Amino acid sequence: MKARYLVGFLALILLAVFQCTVAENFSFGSVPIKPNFLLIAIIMYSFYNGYIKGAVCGLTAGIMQDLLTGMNFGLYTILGVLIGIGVGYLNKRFYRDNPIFIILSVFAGTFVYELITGIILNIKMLDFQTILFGVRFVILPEALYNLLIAIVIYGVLRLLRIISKGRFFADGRHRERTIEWRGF
Amino acid sequence: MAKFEKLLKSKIFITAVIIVFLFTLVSMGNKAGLYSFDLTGIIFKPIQSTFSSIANSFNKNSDSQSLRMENEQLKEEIVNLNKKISAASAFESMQNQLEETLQLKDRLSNFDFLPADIISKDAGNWSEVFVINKGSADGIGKGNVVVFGMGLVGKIISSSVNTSKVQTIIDPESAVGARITSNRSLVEVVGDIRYKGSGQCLVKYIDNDVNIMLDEYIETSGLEGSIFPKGIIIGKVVKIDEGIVERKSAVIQPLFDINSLETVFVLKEKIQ
Repeated sequence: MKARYLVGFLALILLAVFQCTVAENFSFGSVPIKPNFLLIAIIMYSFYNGYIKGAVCGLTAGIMQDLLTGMNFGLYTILGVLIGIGVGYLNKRFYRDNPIFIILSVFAGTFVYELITGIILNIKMLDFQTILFGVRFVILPEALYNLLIAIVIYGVLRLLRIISKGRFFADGRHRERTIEWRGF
Repeated sequence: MAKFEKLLKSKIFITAVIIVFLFTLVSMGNKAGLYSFDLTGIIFKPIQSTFSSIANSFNKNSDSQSLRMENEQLKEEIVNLNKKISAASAFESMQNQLEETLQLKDRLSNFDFLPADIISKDAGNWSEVFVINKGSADGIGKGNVVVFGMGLVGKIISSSVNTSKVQTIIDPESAVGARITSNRSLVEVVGDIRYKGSGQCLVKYIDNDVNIMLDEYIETSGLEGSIFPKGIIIGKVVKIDEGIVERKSAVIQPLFDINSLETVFVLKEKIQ
């Protein structure tokens, strides 16, 4: 059990380093947009494991992001925790095996996360134009990009689960219900 | 047996005579000879042409093979030469930037220039911060100015023992006190999310009566209280927005692409 958490922690460290170095190469567009792999990890993990574990995951990933590149220490940590709790609550309300919910959670989670980040980071010169530009050229493209990556990750995880017949998420009940392949 | 041998000999003899006769006709060049030549042509031509086409195809194959090989060799050579050209041009531009840095170093004689490599970039899409591999152990800390070539890159916002975070001038939270080089008017250069992607920043608070033109340079003002030394070029004006009610603003392009920097120089004040 503890070993699993340690592996998860190390995986988050690797993902944070990946996000700050290699993720730059995934950027595209006139306003270069890169996907946020850390955020995708927080959302997907929280969706399957509930708000407590989601909050812990968000906290760990947020601290790492703050330590590595954040300008105001604590911003990404608080946002990570909030997203972890928020998405974690969704797992009680929705049927978790339906891929549409997890994919839409990634989209909505990214949208909310980036909107709050954008408002806070541009607070000095915040106006309607800046918000509109941010939504159009930063938030929406990133949310869509994250959504596409989430689809790929979800597919790979399902495939791995079918191959191993094991469970990838902490919830034991979930394992029983997701043994067979449902696809998208 | 003897009869058979006799017959065989006679047949061989007759055949030999016919062949000699045909060759004689051919060599004589008369009409009969030509007819006989046509006759031999009819017989031998298909065989000859078959053999010659086989031989030609062998030759062609070997020719095309050698051409193909030569072509591939040439293509490879072109790729290698292109690589060498791009490496040479990169080296040249790097040399130019370093020469410019040396010129800046001569002007800012009371500063040490500490080279540093960029080791990671911002995780998100809103800000433009990067991390360099020099920290407080190298004597740098919050507020140190970062330059490259003749131009300004940004400032250090926090330092650990061996790394530092640099806020670039295109970051939306960045603000630098500046002057228009030609007429010395004071302005403010800020980062803006709308121009961050293209590596540009915004010049604010240009009075309506101040004359600003395209391609004009904007440099740090170095006013008291500013951490940026006077006279470091921030960028060149590429667009002007004429203000009607408010004051004018302009978009400037730094001297280099901040998004693709790999190395920078941190200014460290010399201890007298």
